[in-house]
Amino acid sequence: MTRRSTSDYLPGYPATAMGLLTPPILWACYFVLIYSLHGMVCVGELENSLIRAESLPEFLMAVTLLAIALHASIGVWSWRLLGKLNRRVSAEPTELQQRARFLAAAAAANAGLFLVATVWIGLPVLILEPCL
Amino acid sequence: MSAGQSTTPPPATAVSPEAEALFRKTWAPRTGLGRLSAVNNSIIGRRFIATGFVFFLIGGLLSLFMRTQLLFPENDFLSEELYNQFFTMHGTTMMFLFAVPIMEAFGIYLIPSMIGTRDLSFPRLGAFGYWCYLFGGILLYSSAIFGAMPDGGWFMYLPLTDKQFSPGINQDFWLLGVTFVEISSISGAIELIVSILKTRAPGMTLNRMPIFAWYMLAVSFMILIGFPPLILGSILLESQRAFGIPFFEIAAGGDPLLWQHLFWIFGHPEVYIIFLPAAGLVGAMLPAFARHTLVGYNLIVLAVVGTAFLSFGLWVHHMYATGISRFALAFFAGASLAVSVPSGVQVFSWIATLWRGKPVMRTPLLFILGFIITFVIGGLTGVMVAIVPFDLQVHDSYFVVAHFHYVLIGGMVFPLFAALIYYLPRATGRMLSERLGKWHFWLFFIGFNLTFFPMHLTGLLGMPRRVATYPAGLGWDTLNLISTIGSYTLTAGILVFLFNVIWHVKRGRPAGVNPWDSPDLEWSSVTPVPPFNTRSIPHITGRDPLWAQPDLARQIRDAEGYLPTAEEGKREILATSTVGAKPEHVTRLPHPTFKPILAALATATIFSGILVSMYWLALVGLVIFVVILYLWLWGELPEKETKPVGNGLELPIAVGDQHTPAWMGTLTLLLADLALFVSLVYSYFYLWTTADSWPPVSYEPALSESAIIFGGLLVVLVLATAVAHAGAYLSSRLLALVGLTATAACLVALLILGFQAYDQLPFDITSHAYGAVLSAMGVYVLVHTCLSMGSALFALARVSVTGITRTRSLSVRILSMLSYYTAFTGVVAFILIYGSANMMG
Repeated sequence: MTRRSTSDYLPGYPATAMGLLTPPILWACYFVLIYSLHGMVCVGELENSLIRAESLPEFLMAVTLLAIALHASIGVWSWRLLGKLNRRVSAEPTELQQRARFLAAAAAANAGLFLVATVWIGLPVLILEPCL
Repeated sequence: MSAGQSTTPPPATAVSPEAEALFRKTWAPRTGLGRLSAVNNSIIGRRFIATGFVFFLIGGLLSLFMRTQLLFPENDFLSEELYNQFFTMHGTTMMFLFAVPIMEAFGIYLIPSMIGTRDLSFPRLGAFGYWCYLFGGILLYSSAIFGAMPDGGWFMYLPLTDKQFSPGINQDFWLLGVTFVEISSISGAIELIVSILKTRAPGMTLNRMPIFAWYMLAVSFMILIGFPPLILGSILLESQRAFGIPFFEIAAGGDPLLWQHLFWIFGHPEVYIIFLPAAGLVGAMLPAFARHTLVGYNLIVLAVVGTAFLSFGLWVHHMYATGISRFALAFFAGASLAVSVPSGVQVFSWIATLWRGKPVMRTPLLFILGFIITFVIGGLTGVMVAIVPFDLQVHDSYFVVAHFHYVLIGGMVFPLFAALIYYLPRATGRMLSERLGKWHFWLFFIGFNLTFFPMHLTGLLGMPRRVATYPAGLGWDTLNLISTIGSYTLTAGILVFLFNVIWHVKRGRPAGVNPWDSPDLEWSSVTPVPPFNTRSIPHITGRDPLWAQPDLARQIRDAEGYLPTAEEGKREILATSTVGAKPEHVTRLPHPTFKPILAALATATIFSGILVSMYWLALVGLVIFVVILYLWLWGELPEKETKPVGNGLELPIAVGDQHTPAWMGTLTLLLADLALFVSLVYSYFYLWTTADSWPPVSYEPALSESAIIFGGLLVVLVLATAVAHAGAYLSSRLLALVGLTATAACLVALLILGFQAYDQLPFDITSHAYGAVLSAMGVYVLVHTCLSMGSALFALARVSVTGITRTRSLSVRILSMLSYYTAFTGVVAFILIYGSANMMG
């Protein structure tokens, strides 16, 4: 078995198609979770569970902070990977190098965008009363 | 012979004259009545675009009638009844029959050329989609013959559209006609996704993909996920109207707001489904006029993916005034603001491209600049209406009408005209007049702003939308007068365009090759572009191929790329890997056939039968459709395993495993199917939160013996399917036949037991929404059981006749997918039907 040359370096996740899609999928899960939970808690359907109307803001805030932390982690991870790829790249980047840099850059930028979206959606938790 | 053809004789090629003649004969379209059998993307794409434009003119004419009615206060040019019908059909036509189909049509027409292939992956599906679109549009407009045009608004809000308040057939035309048309959108989306992911020219990795292909890829996924909720809503509403099944009836545990949720889960992404392809076309055209590559390619890709996801989190901003809690509204306001970020990224990227280039001012660029200005204004008012308190002030006023026309006409019609002027020479071989183009632009741009800018003010002054007339003296008279004058000016611009089109066919300057000096592959061919789009399949090494590889266009035309001949007389393209675009195998495409139009006619029979409540007719249509489908799917196996494809490469032919486009096509179809199922589950949980009692007293279904066996059989189904799947994997005909027989038997048993279990449920579906939704789930599972059974019988016949190997086992692999999916939905439905009473406490 031959070793891969530097030009064939395949960094793997998050410089993959899935890495690019992770931030939006994470955001979609976050959005569905907070919207559904809010709806169900406010009509009293989860009365017997851990999450009640009184504790809803704290719970939503915790979920929002977790989502922000995950986006930030993916963003930093992708950004550092992009830096690493940029340092490895030759004067004439190979097809694989170009693709890996593109996917890493897109994953980092996507993480930034969806971090902003999460902050904007989560901010009302600090200001508004739930269930009004 | 179309205009301009004589100016571009076939080029000399690297292949022999006989091989060249055979190649051209293989791809030649039929003439006479045979035209109805066309499946090629060039022909189908052009038909789609032309039909969409005709619907645009019809929808525009309706709006002109409405503007004439609103010219003066207390005008009686149109009756209130007719006005309601006109605004309903105007919106319906523009959204369902014009905007979405024509944008998808550009994808169908351009994508194969852009990605360096000859046709889309499923030409017959494209043709079927076109006929469904045409027949669906005719079905919708045939309502005019009966004086029963839909009149409940393009959004069909309940309870207005319920049988009680709309007893006529008007709304049924809408529900069935629109659903019929949506089949076309979904089929187009599947075609585009698979073609973009599986048939790009070798070397065209994801990061080298044309920007328009990125847009169409995202939009196609949005269609697959966004349209099914409306299809579900339409089925539920039609069921309520036809059979009294109370999904939206408050007194019976339903909720009319459920319709609004299902409608806008579709409706808001729809705005982006319309805008994004237009933005993609701008991205494709702009480098040719800016004389500079597109700035910020990576960021635009990010913006497209971001918009596609975010657009599904905005639907409630159409429902701010429905009494939803402020807290929940804030989530949607946040998401609505967030979507302006990727939109802004795109706008700045276009500006930067112009800034860094040396723009050449031609008519398409004028329209692109008009688009940027208009769309930015629409986007800014969009941010305003995303803010809840402001929206509550202007809700249902003319301010909103102004806003969405700036977004939709600005964001889609301006780029459309740019694209029509830019790409028509590909089809006709002649250029449009620049002088007429400038008249067209200025009349349209001035007319548009005269029409819609004053509406911001009319709205702020309190004029509500959808009113047939208004009293004098409220400050609305002059503004309405200006708007109507503007609408006639705008129409004059469109008439100039039509004249320009007719003029250019005879008098236009020959376009030759790449008249705009574009960097993109779609201009590598001579004009008018022949049906095969790309004479030979190129190897791509950069993002702007015609600029980066100056000799590439000649090499393609001279058949120096892959698949230079068609020695077996078969239409062939290359299938490549999804991310890296490495050649995998040769895919054979069907030749012209009448099956798509016959299948669409059978579908039209189904919809017509339901419309006039002649259900036997719908059943006849269904039987005919199934027979055609079987004939459609029974393809020939290739005469040899591999063939040389040029450049020293030998590839397998027409592989039938998980790498084949058909496998991926089925997977994407199931994604749309899953979106519909998830919408149904969402409906269940939504009604749970709104109904007084869920489940109602005495409705708790107990597990019957049939139900227990049904649940057990779902597990057996998975095992039996796994045996068939293993037969495919191990190339064992015997194992596959055993597995298939067991699967078919299991599915028959599931059907019988399913009906028995349903019969033992303690409710009837017309008395409460709880029973209605659970029954809908049961019907969904049983329909999929029938589908899987049909697939199992097909696979049984196929394996019996032609045998099975690991790489020729498509029918079994597709059955496996359907069967596993049926089992999955069966388990979910089972849990909700029999476990929900406990879950709800």
